[in-house]
Amino acid sequence: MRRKIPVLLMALSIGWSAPVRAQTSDWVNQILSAALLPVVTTQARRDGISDADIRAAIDAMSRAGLSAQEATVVFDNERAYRKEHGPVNNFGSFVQDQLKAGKRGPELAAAIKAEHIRQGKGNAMKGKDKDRDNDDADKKDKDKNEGNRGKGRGRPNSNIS
Amino acid sequence: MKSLFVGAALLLAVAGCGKVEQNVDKATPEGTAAAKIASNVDRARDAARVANAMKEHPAAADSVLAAAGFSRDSFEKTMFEIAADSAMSAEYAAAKKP
Repeated sequence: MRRKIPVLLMALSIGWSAPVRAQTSDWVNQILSAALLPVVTTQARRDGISDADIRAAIDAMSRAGLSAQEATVVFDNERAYRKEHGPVNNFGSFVQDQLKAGKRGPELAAAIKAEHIRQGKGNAMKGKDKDRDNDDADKKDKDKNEGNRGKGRGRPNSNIS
Repeated sequence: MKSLFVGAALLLAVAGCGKVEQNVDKATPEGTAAAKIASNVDRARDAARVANAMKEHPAAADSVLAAAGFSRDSFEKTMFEIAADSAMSAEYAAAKKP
């Protein structure tokens, strides 16, 4: 009998702990995703999204009752669309408007993606950047040649900034 | 073994909690802007410590939150608050383990 009681207790504890683990894993996963929100917004700021836009979007999502996990997904998507299609104007107020219109989850993500495609900054910016890069390269070559011609004259490092 | 993990996680969380209280004590008497910024930065670091502890010991996540004085809702609200502030979120991101 003495041996049976610890064995029984052990079996009961295993039986109880298994469903509890199954129940908690969902919310733990959610809260671990929520814990990534400040990390994703830091990355978004580094990508060039303005602080005002991020604040506006966060404020709107918080007021609309989105979870921090959902907000993490929104910023993750925004970073991906931005990389793919280029930046959009007034990201914060756009998110506000979409939330006011009742969009959530995949519908909100689709609206943000459509806005990136609609504004079409990506292609325009890529073209501009390419032109600017070519201009810079031409200028560097020109400076280099001039530097070789007139040694000791001018400011050889003037194009570094 | 499981109880060892839970114990370790609780100790981590409680240690973090203690630090928050110390920082609040330092910040409250003067109430200066600089003290507020320092306090916010410490809050961000402490929240990152809690997040790290939960990630390392997911089975004890509830205990970790409770020991640090958080509920699930208040932790979420803190995430929004930190994310909205560039300095706090940068500090949090630096302290948060991948």
